[in-house]
Amino acid sequence: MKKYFTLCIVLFVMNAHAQWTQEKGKGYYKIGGWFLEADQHYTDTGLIDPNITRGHFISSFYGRYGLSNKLTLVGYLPYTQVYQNAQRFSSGLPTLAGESFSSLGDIDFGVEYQLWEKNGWAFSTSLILGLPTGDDAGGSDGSYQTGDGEFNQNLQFNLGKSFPIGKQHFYFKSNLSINQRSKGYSDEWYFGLETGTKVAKDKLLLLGRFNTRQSLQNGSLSAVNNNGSIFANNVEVTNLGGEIIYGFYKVWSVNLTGSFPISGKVIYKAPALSAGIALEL
Amino acid sequence: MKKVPFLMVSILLLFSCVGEDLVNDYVDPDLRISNAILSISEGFQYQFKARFFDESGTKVENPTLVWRVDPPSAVSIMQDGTIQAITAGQATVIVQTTGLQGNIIEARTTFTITAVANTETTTTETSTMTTGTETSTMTTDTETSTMTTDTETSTMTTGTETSTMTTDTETSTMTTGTETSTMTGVVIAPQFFEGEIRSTSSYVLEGKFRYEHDGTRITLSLDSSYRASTSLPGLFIYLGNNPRTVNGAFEIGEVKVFSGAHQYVLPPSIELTDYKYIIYWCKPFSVPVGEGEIF
Repeated sequence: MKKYFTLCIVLFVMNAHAQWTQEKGKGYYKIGGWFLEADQHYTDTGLIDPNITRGHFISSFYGRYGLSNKLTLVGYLPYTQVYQNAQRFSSGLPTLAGESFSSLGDIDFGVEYQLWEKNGWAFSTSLILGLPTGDDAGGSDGSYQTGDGEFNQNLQFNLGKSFPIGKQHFYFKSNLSINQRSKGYSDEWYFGLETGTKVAKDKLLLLGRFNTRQSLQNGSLSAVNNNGSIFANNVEVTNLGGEIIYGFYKVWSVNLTGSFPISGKVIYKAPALSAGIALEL
Repeated sequence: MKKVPFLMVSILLLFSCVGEDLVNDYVDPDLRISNAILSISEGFQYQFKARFFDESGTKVENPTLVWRVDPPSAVSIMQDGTIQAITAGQATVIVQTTGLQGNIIEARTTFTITAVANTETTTTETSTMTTGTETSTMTTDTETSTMTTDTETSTMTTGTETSTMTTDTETSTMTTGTETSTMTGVVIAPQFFEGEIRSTSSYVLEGKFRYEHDGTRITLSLDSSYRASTSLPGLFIYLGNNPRTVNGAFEIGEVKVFSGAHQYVLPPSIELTDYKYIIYWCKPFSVPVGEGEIF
């Protein structure tokens, strides 16, 4: 599940900058925080069950650098905290203490290559490698995962176009990706749509997003052959979200992002919120 | 302007503090008679035991118990739970205690008092044996008895019955006219329970179980109807007295079988009525996902 969070954040950030790759020698750097706290989750049947409140907080650095006008280097470095609330019992039983576990998360890095750009259209691809640098068995019971312990490769294709409606300029982006996972985990595909426009004298960028992640159900790993239950395989989710980006001093920007799940399987049901500040040089 | 990123991250950090959840774990307090019997013979004694579990499912040590019987003419009872069977018929033992809310909590068990069987009565009423003097005298037409003392053993055999008695006193007298051949005179209730596991979540979890004490230890057996979702993350099985929490429960272990018959052998320290529920617990989400009521 943690891997999903990490990859989603990367793809989320990438989508805002995909299709139009960095110019040679220029970069985009962002530090931010990503937060999710949930007291319910989607089960494997897609229904919603309650759970003790758990939270994830990820502090991260994300960077892109143009190696050429068509080739961009991408990196993501997370530091993850997973925690569970204390439990106070109505019966008067002694309170069970909460728990928190923090460590380096799974690092992602890769490249993005612009395949084609013409008449407002842009088509690019990216390959992101997920390194198992997080802890897949953190905490007292091993469930405070800051990584999933597997190496994965995400190949993504991005298509975008800018267009006017009246005097207002908009853009539209779409992406489709395949995430190949190792260690018997099922592969996954992602699909996303995004549209946005600038307002307030182009200082404020408003975005709307739709993202879905679906399992190919082709993993050999199961609770049966794993000699015990497993966590976070065949995770699925569909989100609606939005983002506000405010630019200032030409090179700086701050952003607030919200992502809201509308369906899922084996994943928390709670909005994910993030904020960050970015520098583009 | 340099403060902006720090402010934003700080704001998010405020959300990421470990908070506190209130868990509604109230269960009805439970008073249970832990050693029920099916029957007892006239004239015999038996001590019932009771255990009290409070509103959290936690065992209360040395609860104040009040014992009574119905009908009083059939059985007499002392306040340590010991009964004396008087006359044949049905009888009920009732034990009560007071809950935290001041309410009376009650448990009861019904059993049969059996009359003494005539076929087990000797025609000659008395046998007397004196040891130490190396003299033994036993007279009976229909009975054999073996009596062992520190110094002497004598054996007598008839065609219908054998009984054995051991004593370390030097003189013993046994009157057979009022005793049955079963020295305890008590038939204990069956030492097993059967039931079904049911899902208390959206995950598939079902099957029939048998919870049986074999005299040494308890075996929890799930039959071929058992199945659990293999997508259940971090699934563990517990024994407890509160199906809403595993706080204070006994952890049997991680679930490694997701379909078909299998069993768990429990430590000898666990008695048959120590736990009322089988609890399936999802550790990563800290929630119960299924349960089986043992009794």
